[in-house]
Amino acid sequence: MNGDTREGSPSVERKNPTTIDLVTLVAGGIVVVGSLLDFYDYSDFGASISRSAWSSDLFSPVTLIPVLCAAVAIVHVALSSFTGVKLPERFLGLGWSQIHVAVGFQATVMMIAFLIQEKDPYGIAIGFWLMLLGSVAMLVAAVGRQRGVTLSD
Amino acid sequence: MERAKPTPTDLILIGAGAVMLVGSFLDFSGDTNAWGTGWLPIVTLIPIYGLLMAVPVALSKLAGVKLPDLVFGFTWAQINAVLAVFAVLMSAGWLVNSDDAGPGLWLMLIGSAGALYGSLAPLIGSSEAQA
Repeated sequence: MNGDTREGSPSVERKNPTTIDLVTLVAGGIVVVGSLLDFYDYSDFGASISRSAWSSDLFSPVTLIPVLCAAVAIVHVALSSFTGVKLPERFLGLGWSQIHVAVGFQATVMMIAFLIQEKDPYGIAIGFWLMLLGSVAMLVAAVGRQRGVTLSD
Repeated sequence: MERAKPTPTDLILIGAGAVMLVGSFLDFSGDTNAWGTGWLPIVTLIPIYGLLMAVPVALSKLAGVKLPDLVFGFTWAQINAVLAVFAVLMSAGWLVNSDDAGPGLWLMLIGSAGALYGSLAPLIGSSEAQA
């Protein structure tokens, strides 16, 4: 442990990505892709209006918080598993497995809140469903990571 | 019941949660508060997070209730830090999004910022103590 915790000098020690890492990457990617597609849509009398999570006249930047959560998870897995950069073991008093749970929880709670929110006349579009699906998958992967679940490759 | 004396950061967390709760009943945007149609439950998450931070601290430090040390692998200090970070992010996000931010939104933002200070101070202090 002493060898890889030199203060202020990240060492390079690449490890193979686990199945949990890959699930996190895919789930986070789904959230990001979903954010670029239609979040809410509305159609009536032939007119169709749709808004993505990035649309300033919807709820952006609040709708981007789940995307931020996904980005944190993706960047951590990518840096630690593919580039071999040794990150600090704790950030603001939290270990990385706890941070994954926190961002997965927050993204899921926000997407469920948007799901049950009164949004008439708008309806839910494909991008929303992808963001909800990816958020739940991120949370499941994070819980597995925290509990040390190892899936056979 | 063994009652521990509340620290200044405990009192900040309790006060911040109260401010967020009061703010949620004032105008958030337009003439609607955080519990109104269209904002429930996405905006209401902010005062809910405030209560989730303040109530356990009040129960353990003021009422002497014994709480579990860990919840889902998190200490209470870590839970408070996570909730406070996201409460600030959501409050700030709504402030940026809103064209007519009401006093309720401002109070929730102020309460969130107070909770962030109250929750991070013990964590940062303990990290420095370990270093």
